[in-house]
Amino acid sequence: MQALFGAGPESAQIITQDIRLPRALSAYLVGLMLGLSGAALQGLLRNPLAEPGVLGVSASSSLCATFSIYYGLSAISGFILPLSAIVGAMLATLFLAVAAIRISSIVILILIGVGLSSFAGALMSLLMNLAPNPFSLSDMVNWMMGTVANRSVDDLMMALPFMLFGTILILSAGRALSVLSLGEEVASTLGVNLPRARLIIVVGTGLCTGASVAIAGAVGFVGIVAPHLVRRFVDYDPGKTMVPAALVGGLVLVAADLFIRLAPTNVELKLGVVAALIGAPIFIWIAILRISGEKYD
Amino acid sequence: MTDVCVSNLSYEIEGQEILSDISMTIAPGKLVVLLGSNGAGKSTLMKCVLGLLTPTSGSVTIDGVNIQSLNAIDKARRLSYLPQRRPMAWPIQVRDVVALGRFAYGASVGKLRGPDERAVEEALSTCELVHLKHRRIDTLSGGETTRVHCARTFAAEAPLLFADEPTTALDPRHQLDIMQRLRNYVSDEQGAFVVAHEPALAARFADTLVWMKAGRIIATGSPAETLTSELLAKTYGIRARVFVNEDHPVVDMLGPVD
Repeated sequence: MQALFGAGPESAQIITQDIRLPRALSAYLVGLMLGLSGAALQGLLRNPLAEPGVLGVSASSSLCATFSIYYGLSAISGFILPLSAIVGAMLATLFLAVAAIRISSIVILILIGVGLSSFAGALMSLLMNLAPNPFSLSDMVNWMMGTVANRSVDDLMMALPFMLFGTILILSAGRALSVLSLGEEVASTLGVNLPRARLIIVVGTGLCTGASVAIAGAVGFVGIVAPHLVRRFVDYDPGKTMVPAALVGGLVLVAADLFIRLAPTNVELKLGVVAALIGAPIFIWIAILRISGEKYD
Repeated sequence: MTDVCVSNLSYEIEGQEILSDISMTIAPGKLVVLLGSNGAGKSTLMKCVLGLLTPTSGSVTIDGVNIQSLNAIDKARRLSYLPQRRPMAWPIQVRDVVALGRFAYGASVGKLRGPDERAVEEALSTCELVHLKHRRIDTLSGGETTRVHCARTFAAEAPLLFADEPTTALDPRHQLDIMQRLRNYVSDEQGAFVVAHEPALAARFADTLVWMKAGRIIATGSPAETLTSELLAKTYGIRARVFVNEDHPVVDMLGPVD
């Protein structure tokens, strides 16, 4: 604690300020972005199983990052890797945004996202299959599994503007998301500009997700778990779910990362692996509840 | 005063004509009920009038402005809509559902200000929902749920209200109850346009009946003029006797037309 504010031994100061603090901040920010994106997409798609992964944004983002590793682009400058993650997310959201304006059915939009996600996954496997040497392969695997180890404050600053802009966009659509509870037809007769609301959410989640992939790689399921945990406390209003879901998402990832650092394993576990180990069963649990009719809890 | 003018409206899906050459005016002060058999095009007409569907030819104007060029907020302040199917994505509170009706006035659910709060409270009490206002909507009965959606539609306080089959799947008491609430909504400043399936119930509450068959309007007029055996036969393909009992029209359905 003393070391954080510039007191205590120098070694402790360095460890706390340059290693621990950026790592904890990274985990929190990534969780924040994923929780927010998940809540926004669930509101837009009116489905508690939606999250950035569903629309293929995370996968496309990881793909572009992997691509830059494969071609050695990431060796040119430290900034290439995070930038390509953001470019990947933006390309995916741009594609979805164009589709969202033309397609009136949200179900078809989800299917396009699922298709995009599978395609990006296939291309990623192809890259790994063709990896020129074991080092590139291990780099790619690290990126795919997701981790916040060894992040610097510079890495965070790179992603911060995108996160801020994305967050502002998403929060501006909160009221529209509440009205979308009544379905798209009624929402549009109540005064929601549907194409614009969809565009705002899709671009906002693209920015937030891309920036979080740039920091931590692909970390799944936070976007599903966090909104699920807070929903009942905000009376199930999708607009009011977003901020608490973001805060809880941050806490979830910080806790997961703390567990990783304290876990007595020889090889450090990856954050994305732990998040998926916790999140995937919850995902299935929510899906089963929906089948049995108790679709809200 | 808001009026909606439909002129020579036609609507096609894949070359099949669903509505053909419909012209009508909808204005405050009246309860208009649209009657017709399943598939006659009633809901499609309502969606065209609301600007949810774009007609193949002809036009819909509100106070002289084409509905397609009107922005969503302006439209929402003049027309409110109770659809036939009312999906709820989340089990939100009754009061919050009703509050969503005030979106076009800038209301945020849970943080209602002056006129929004008054409109919501009024709609809740008009629909006798005050004691249920903190209940989750998925815990209500069918009749109560319909009342919540009515209240949501009323809360917008729009000059024109459109309701698509508001009484379907309700028991007789709730049917009368909902029709009476729609009747009460109508005043010099407000009007309602309702799709219904029970000619006698419609005739009891409506000022005007509009009869549709196969995408065309075949008759328009007061219940006294148009609720006849001939029109029932033509519209629904049924043999029926119409008589008046204690000022209320009664339709005695005898069977299908041979």
